[in-house]
Amino acid sequence: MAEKLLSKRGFARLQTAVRWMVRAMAALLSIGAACSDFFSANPPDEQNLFYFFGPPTSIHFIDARGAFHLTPFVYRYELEDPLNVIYQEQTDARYPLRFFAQGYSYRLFGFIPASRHLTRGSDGSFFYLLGADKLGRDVFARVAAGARISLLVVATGIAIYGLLGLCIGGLAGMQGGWPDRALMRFSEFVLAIPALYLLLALRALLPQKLPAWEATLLGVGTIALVSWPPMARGVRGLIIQLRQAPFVEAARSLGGTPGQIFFRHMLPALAPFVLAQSTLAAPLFLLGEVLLSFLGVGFGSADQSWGSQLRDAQDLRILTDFRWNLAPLFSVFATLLCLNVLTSRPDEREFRRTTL
Amino acid sequence: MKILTILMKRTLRLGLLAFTVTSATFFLVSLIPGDFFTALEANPNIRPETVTRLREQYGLGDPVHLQYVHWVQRSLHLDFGYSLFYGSAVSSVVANALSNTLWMGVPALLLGCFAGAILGTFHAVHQQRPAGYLLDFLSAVTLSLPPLILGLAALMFASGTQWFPVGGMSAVSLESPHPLAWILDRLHHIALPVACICLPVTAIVEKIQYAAAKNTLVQLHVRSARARGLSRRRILLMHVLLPSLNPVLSVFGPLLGAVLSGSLVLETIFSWPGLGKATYDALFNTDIYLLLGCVACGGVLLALGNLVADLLLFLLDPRTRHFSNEAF
Repeated sequence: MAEKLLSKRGFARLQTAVRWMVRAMAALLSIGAACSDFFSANPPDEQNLFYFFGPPTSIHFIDARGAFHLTPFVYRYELEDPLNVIYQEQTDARYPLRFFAQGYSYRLFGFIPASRHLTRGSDGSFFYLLGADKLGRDVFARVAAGARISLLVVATGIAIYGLLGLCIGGLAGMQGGWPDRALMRFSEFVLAIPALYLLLALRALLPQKLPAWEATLLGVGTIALVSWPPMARGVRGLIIQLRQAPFVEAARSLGGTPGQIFFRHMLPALAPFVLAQSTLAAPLFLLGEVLLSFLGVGFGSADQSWGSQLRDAQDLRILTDFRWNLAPLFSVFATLLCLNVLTSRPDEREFRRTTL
Repeated sequence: MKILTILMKRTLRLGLLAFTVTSATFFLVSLIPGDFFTALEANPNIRPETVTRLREQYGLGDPVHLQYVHWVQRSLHLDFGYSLFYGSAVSSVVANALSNTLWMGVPALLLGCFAGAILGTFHAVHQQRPAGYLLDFLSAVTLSLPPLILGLAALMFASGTQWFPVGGMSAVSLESPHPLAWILDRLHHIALPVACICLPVTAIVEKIQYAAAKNTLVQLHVRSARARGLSRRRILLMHVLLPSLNPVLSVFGPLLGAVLSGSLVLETIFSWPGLGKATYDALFNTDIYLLLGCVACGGVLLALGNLVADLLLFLLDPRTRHFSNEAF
């Protein structure tokens, strides 16, 4: 068996298996992001002052006397040492977990009113799957809510990025002449400025407090504003090649206007490149948002996003004693891994990447 | 001779670039409402006249275009202004910050490029074999580890094991140290930040080199080299690695920029007083002259990275020399 696994085909199969696992993880992440409230036991912004820096609640099947119970249960936690923030389980009473239980009300997918949750602790006990942060907020609920914001940022980001690159590259390629030269000079100029500095400068221009939606859109827009050149240059190069293609010449000789030629004949040919390049830019948007929020200049979407949850992580106490607060790091890693693996074809030739 | 004209042209373009980048930054920043002294206005203990006087003194009361003209005039005399936030000349602040950033960035970049080029070639030779699959996996994982994650993990490691300092550039106890002790202390302090930058750089370079070397391996000159009976090491070094370095060198410039700006996060995590930190301070305190200095410095560094990459390419790859007139 081991010999078979170590053979050439075994490795190829292993690789396929790993790719499928990553796909499953991506599906799980997106489902989790879409119904974050269903999976979380506590509202993401509810503060619980009796459980600040509380550890992840351990789930038991066997109680203190060694008896087995079919339904999993948790114990109540009490603060034993307020100075070092150490909680102790109180094993005198069991609190069974309830599944599909009524809890705080929320809107599923943002519009279906609902109040069912996957798991909840019984009354009188806390159930924090990944512990609590310094204000006693549920880390798991916050990570799940952050996933929604991050995936939204990635989706809108690549849409804006693709459109911007297509417009600028299309204009330069179709027009030629001085607009082409000016736009390409400008793209070189944008490339010449370290992206993060430009991002910070643009961020400083925007007002600090904005409604969440507007802030997310503007923030994503700023990242797109510093990252469009590779896309625009690629599109322009392709268009210049396509202009000589027989079908474009035929369309022109039949009296097609530049608009018609661009939308009807060139766009289908450009689509694969634009899609591939957009997906390559996806990690950029995720990381850009996380970095800006981490530095404290995020998009003002309260402190829901992963980056702002990580701001506290510079506190050495979190790194040594309350490590469950680093959970957003793993979600960032998992999302990046999914994006990287899903967007790379096994034999990819060209590798364009803008790094922040 | 040719290389000299290229150098001249590029230096000229570098100056032009620094000028345009700083000009754009100047007007962009002048759009931000308020200046360095705006915070003082809110203080009831400071009279408005004092604030006005301070503005006059530092030339911030003039209209924007006049400020710009004055700044350009002074810059031509190599006087880049005064940083109000740090309380010293911009040139000294930037020089200090730059040297700190380079201490972290240059070793990481060199190490990363070197390791990446070797690993990438090894990866291409071993593709679809156990070592190749292992590298496939490692490269996918490493590409998904941004400096932020690595930095926090390194901090956790340092605070858990106490093997490395958790931040800063030198130990406090070192007062008038022996040069050797100073070097050892500095190496001890840069180890973790350098590792955190080096790993992503290695991953990116490895991936590019892998793709390039994979294409080179199937070309006829490799087969003919093998037919001539050259040793395996010589073939790999001279006929596979060297000809496929072109794409790696072309990402060197962008990588330099990425290392410089990516270091802002690591500088924050490791409390390292570098260029990223200075830019951040300048921007959020509207210390405009310091900001201009930092942005110009970053732009010039990025352009210099591109220049160095092109020159290296010119020296290492004879194929580029024949087309150099158009390429530059």
